[in-house]
Order: sequence, then C-alpha cells, then structure tokens
Amino acid sequence: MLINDSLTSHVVTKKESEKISSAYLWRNFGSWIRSHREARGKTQAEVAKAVNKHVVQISRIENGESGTKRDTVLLLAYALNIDPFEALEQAGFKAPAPDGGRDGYAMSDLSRLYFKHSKIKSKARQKEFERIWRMIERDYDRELIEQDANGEDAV
Amino acid sequence: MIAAPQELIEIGWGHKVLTYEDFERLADAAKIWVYRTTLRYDDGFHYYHHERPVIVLNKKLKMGDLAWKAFHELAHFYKHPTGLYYFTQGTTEKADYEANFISSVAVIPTPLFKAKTFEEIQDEYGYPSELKWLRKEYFERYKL
Repeated sequence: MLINDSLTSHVVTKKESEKISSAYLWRNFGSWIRSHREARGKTQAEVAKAVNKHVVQISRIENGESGTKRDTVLLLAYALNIDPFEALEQAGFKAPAPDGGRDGYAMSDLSRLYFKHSKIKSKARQKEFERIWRMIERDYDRELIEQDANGEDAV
Repeated sequence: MIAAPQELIEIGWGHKVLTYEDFERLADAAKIWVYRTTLRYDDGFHYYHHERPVIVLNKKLKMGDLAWKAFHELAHFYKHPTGLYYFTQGTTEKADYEANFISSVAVIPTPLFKAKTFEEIQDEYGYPSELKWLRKEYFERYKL
C-alpha cells in the first residue's frame, strides 16, 4: 500500500503499513483486555496467575507493546469471562467456523480444556494435555482418511 | 431435584448398580471416544476434540472407582455440553455437583444404599472413600 504523506512525501511501504496495522491492533486489543479486566475488579497479577503467564507479559499485552498468541487470547478470554470468539476477533485472529470447523481452531480445544480443568496451572499439566490432544488427533486424522476412502461424510 | 439423563434411566439408574461395561455401551451409542491413559493430575476429563466428544480416564483407576468416574464424565456429556461453551468458576461447581449426584446414584443405587453400610458396599464394589460422604449427602438431600 502506498500513501503519500503531504508533509514529508514519504511513501509508506507495505511492510511498514503492516507494522503500523499490527501496532494499532495490539494497542486496541490491549486496551480492550484492560477494560474487561478492570470491569471485573481483577489485578494484572491475578490474571497472570489464571493464565499461567508472567505479570510483565500481561502488562505488555495491555499496553499494546506485544502481540498475543491465539492460545493466550483464549486463556485471557476464559479468565475474564469474555466471549472467546469476540476476543479472537479483537486480537485479529480468524475466528472458528460456526460449526466448529477444523481450520484455525485446533489448539483452542486444548486451551479451553486446559482452563476448564486445570486446578494446578503448570507447564507440566499443559504438556500432559498436549500429549493427549496429539494422541487423539492422530486417531481423528485416521478416521477422516478412512471416511474419505469409503466415501463417507465427516462425523 | 437433579434430573438424570434419560439414557441412564432406561438402563436402570437409581435401581441397579451400573458398571463400567454399561458406561462403555452408552459411550459407544453416543459415539464418544473413550481413552484410558496415564494422567498425573486428574482422574478424568471430557471435551470435544473438534466436533468429536471424548472422555479421558486415568488408567490407574480400577473397579468401582473407574465406573464412578466414568459415569461422572458421561453425566457432564449429557447434561453440560462443552463444544463451544465454557464455564465460569461457579458454573463449574454446580456442574460438578450435578455430575457427582448422577454418577453416585448410578454406582450406588438407592436400594443398595439402604440395604448395606458403605463399608460393605466398598468391599464389594471397590468404591473410593471420597464417595461415602457425597452419596450420604445426596441421599439426605434428595432421598435417593
């Protein structure tokens, strides 16, 4: 995208434009998350503990100083009782298809699972969920292949 | 009163002891994938893997303990569909209370609860001690 800035006549390149867009997105998402957190009367430390991140990371997200991974967006949504689809949109991610379709949705099953069931929020526990998820994903793939081979509809 | 799922009522919930084999038949009928694997932090959980319902159970669970926890997860599947939903803390507690009620009565039906002491039932079926107080509370509250 090229923009002619009338003051400096600087032509903004596509890369710069994307960078500007990302920064704008991060700032917007950060303030949006902050407003939800404050509305719920939670501190950054409480949210950090809930999502198993460092409080510095939460601060950077809220200040728009860094982007956020998809799974972190979902964990924040669950911790703050926000609609996860809305959170994904605010963070600039593709939301899952209404029927829970596969594309872009895989790890959000895991994040939801982790948050819902986690009493001990530890990396070891998350790794255990990931292991189980991968094991089941292999069976899921196998079933899809068999269904394709048999000309069946997906489950 | 917490309503038990029709699928459990049809196989004798509240009247006869439901076993792990009963659970397997129901899970199969509902197209739920059941996994028994090593779990360090849980006895079991359920979720939707994409659109496929899954129940995962700790492979260390044995006998009555296994049946109880399996029915707990199955109760969640019937009563508290996950998929695109998530729970707040409060809802999770209520959901677990309901699942515990349904599974406790499934494995210790009322006639059995009235006829024997918990220790006798525990010896016969291998239920864990934690089930004792839950079953007692549900009986006192719901007379079931």
